[in-house]
This record gives sequence, structure tokens and C-alpha cells, in this order.
Amino acid sequence: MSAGELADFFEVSKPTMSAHFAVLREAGLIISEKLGKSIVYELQMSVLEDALLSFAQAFGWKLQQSKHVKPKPLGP
Amino acid sequence: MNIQAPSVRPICSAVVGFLGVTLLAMAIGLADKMGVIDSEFAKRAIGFAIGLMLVVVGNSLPKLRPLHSSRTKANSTASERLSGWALVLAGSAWIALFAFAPLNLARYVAALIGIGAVTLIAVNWTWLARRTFFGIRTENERTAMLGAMSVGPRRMIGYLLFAFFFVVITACVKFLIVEKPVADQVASWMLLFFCVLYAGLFAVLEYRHARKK
Repeated sequence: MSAGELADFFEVSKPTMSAHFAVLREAGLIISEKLGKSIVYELQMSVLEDALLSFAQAFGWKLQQSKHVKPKPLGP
Repeated sequence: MNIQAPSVRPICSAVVGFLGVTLLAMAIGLADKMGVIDSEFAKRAIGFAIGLMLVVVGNSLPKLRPLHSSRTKANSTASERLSGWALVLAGSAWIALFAFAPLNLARYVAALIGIGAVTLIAVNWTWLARRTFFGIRTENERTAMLGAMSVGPRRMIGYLLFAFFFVVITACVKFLIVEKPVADQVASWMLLFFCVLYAGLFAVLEYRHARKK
């Protein structure tokens, strides 16, 4: 997902999001790629984290969107 | 597309894990030579420690992203995941074998599993490298990729993976020929070979790094 798309899901400013992304990237939890003018972020998981996520998904546990935050529609 | 270098934290964790387990295995070997612990227990513990090393390095391999370049992004992510899974599964099998199976059987099967995992990774990475180096990549892109691999944290990944694979291959060879009289001689030659190759790798990567500066 691009930084802009991710920022739309949260009620914080883009610079704040950017600072959070920097922390996550330093911790090795995400990786970023520059695609033209935008930056695309991607989860970076170890084998164990990957296995745990697959295990959780096999049992139907999914990440759910918070009820308090309403995402803005993507695109124009 | 510009992929940023991997963060230092996963690299540090993998290096610390690798060195920690290596030191543990060396301490067990030393204790065995001094007669402090039972010989069979020591051999099992060393096999167990190398299995643990496979799990630790394999687990962090997708985070280290040793194959990453902008052109082969999708392929390299899949390769890194496959390699990580192969090492973690092989390591788990080693741990189970050295914990529960008879020692001779454990050594033999563990060696075959280790060689299988390393061969799978070697074939997979060679295939990816072939596409990277002999594909439609231009000379400038190739130079940029080689340059990126010799800079900063990527050098550490190179040193780590070289030492790791050498330890695993040496262990597999030793387990296969442990009963034969040439076992000690082969181990000594492999150690010498390792030192020479490591010095060569160090010289190449440091030279490239110095030129980049």
C-alpha cells in the first residue's frame, strides 16, 4: 500500500504517519520502496511470524478495522 | 523503483543469534575434549546447536533480504521465503533427530536433510542470479546492483550467510564421514579452505565499499 492510501485509514496527519513508518522500518517490521513520487510500504515478516499469521488465518482470525475510524474513500 | 536498504536491527539479531549458537557449539566441543561432559551427549548437543542455528538464521532470512534488487523484487521475495522455510524446517528436523533418534542414524539423516536444504537454496538462488545477470538487465543496472550489495548492512549479510552456509556444509560432510579415518583431515582442510575463501570475500566486499566511498 502507498503511504497516502495508508494515511487515509487513520485520523493523523501525513507527517505523523511518516514518522510512524520510519519507526516501523527501523524495527524491521516493514520495508519501503520508492515508486515514482510515492512510497509503497510492505510487511516484512520472519518465517515464524509468517507461520503464525497463516495459522491465525487458517482459524479465521483476521485483522478487523476499528469501528471508530471510518476510512476515507480511495481515489478522486 | 528504489528499494531502501534493510534496517540494521534484523541483521544484528541474525548475527548475534549465529555467533551465540556458534560459541555454544564451540564450548560444548571444548568441554567434550576436556572430558567435562559425556562424549555422546556432547555430539548430540553440537548437532542440536547447529539445528538451532539453522532455525535462527532461516527465520530471519526473509527479513535480511539478501537477494533484493529492484528488478527481481517479486522473484527474490519468493526465493527468500522459500529459503527461510527450507532452513527452518531442516533445522527443526535436526533438533528432533539429535534429541530423540539414535546418534548414528541422526547424523546420517541430518546430513542428508542439510545437504538437501542447501542444494535447494543453491539451485533456487542460482536460477534467480542467472535471470538477474543474464536477463535483459543493462550494464548500468548490473553495476548498480553489485554496488548496492557491497554497501553498508548488505556486507554484513554477505559475511553472515557465507559463514553460516560453510558451517552447515562442513557439519553435513563431517556427519557423513565421521566413521572414516580421513574425517579429521577433511575437517582441517575445510577449515583452511573456509579461512581462504572468507579472506577473499572480505577483500572483495571491502574493496567495493572503499571504492563507493
